[in-house]
Amino acid sequence: MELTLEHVSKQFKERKNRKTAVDDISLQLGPGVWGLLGANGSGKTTLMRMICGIMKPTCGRICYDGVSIDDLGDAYRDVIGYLPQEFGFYPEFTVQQYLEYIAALKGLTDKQARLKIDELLTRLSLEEVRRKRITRLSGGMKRRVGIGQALLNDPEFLVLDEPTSGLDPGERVRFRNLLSEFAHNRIVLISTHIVSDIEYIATRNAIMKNGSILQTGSTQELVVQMEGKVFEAAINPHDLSRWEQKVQVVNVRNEADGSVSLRYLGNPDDIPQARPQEPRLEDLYLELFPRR
Amino acid sequence: MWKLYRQEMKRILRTRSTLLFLAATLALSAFMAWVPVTYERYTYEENGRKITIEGPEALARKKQMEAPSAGEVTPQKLAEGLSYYHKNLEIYGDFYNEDFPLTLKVQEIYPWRPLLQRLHEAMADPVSGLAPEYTDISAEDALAFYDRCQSHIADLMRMEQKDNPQAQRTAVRMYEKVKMPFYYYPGYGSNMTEYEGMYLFLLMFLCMMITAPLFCCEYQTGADDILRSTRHGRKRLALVKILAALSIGIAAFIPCMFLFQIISNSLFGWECRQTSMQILFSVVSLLDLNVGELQNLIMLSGFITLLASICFTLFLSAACRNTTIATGLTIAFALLPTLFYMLIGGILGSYLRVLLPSGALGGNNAFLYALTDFEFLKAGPLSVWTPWLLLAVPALEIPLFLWLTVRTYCRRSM
Repeated sequence: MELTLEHVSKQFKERKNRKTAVDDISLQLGPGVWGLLGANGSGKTTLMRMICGIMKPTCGRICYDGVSIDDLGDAYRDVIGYLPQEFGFYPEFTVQQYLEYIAALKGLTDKQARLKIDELLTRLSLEEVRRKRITRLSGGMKRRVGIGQALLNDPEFLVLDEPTSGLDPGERVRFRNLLSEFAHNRIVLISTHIVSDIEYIATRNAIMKNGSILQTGSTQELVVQMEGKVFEAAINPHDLSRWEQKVQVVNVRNEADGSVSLRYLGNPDDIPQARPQEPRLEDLYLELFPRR
Repeated sequence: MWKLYRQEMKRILRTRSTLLFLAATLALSAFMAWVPVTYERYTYEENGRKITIEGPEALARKKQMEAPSAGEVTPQKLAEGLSYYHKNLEIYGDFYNEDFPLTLKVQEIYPWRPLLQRLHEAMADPVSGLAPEYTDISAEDALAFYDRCQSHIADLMRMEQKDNPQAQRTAVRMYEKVKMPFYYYPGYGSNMTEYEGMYLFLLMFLCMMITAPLFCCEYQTGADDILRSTRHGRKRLALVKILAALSIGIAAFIPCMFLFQIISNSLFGWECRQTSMQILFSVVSLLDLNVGELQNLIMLSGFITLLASICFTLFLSAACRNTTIATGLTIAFALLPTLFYMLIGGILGSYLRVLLPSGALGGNNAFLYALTDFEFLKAGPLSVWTPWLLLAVPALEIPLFLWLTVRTYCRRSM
């Protein structure tokens, strides 16, 4: 089970110019959770849509188990589940009706659909709202319905575009656990700009910027390069803005004694008495996508 | 396929706007069939007072009044009616003379009017096309009515299609097939068929509005990405959506038109279906049809136009990125044939409206008016009577737009 991207690019016509949204990406995705990390506008959604076969690359090739996804056609769509970042529900549908509709599109028989819908509604804690119109559900519940439709065909390859946007912290945790459970012997690709969504569950990460993949690797492999670059220092709250001008601030925490703990990227001597810190994926993200 | 079709039908029929539009088609069919009877008026004199009654009661009285002219339109009947005209015109000069008693008009003039209007038309001058005064029409002329009809069509075509001898010959040949004598059964007015055309336009418009969001609302809401990533979310879904839209159109058309025909024919009288088109519209109407057959032909044209317009709307929906644009274009294309007729007119306007899938329905451009007209359009070496084009072009456009819809939908986002 392997998805291979070979020199995949996508260009769009924008008035008279051509804009490159995805630029010569080559990648191999195997079983496990893959995190696709990048700022908004970095080309994640375009890449995901190409991977799902919704959009064709301008050049390059996407293969599943060595066969082009264009050649696989229906067979490829049988093994993928896709949850786009923004997706429309039909206002007239209840949760169950919506899932039945997608099940029909995925080619499930009535019996298969009934069993799978029951199972997913239980797994996603949506049983109580199965006869409720989707428009009346909370954002988190709608997202879970979205995940439910992606899982209906028991996909080998699950593609989730910004799946946690709009979810509260509790729902995010529940969602992460669900994915970890599901990812066994499957490929799960999650695109996000929220580092914490993938930091602890992703087997491998790919970091994307301006349409290109900058780095790939496990969280440990990626954060290793940040060693010796992350520090924390206690500062006077009045000096905060001054330090923000000088260093890349990762986090600001108010302490009980009135001081402020500043986590930053830089050198130990940037701020007096700074202590080295264990790097996290978020630190790398800020290094690659600086806020300043 | 059928499971998907069932699900798609369920989805569309659950949409509030669809239900609203479908309810409107049914309500309008009853309303539009009933409205023409409200225009019926009958005025008579009682104890020196003029009394006007309206609606179904007026219609019943009119039918009673015109009873002498009912049935086969024989030359003898025309001559008899003409003799009453002559007698009274000799006394009162003209029909609008204030001294002309209403009771006498009701007894001796109005009963013959529907037939004598056609005699009057047939007697038009072969060169100027002007109809003579009733006093200038003799009993012999009335007895030669059917011969005059044959010569009148040739005269008229010479005037209408001066530069198109092929059209002249075709029209004369078509008219030779019209069976004579004609028949007339009082009650049914020409505005009833006009209302049938108007209702068909409304039905088409409402079905187009139901169809307009079918594809583009998926693009607009983002649902499309999910659909396309599923096994059947492309060609098969496009076909299912097309099938669903056509099914809804057909399902709306059949009961609505059935209801329309039942109401209108029950109100005006089923026997009126036997009235010849030549008596109702023009003595030189080119088709050998009675009112019943005319109603059916208008329905057939409406049905083909409806299907073609639905297919065209599906194509627009597949091509537009949001519902507002698709709905706007749908409204524009539904009205465009009427606008072409009004603003451009002439042969160019006719060509343009004939090419549009909704060309046979609308205002003055409607199929019915084309049937009573003598317009021939050149299609290559042929001169084709416009109604035939209004039937053939949308029929040919149905598969074309279906193919374009599937192609546009499947290629989108690629």
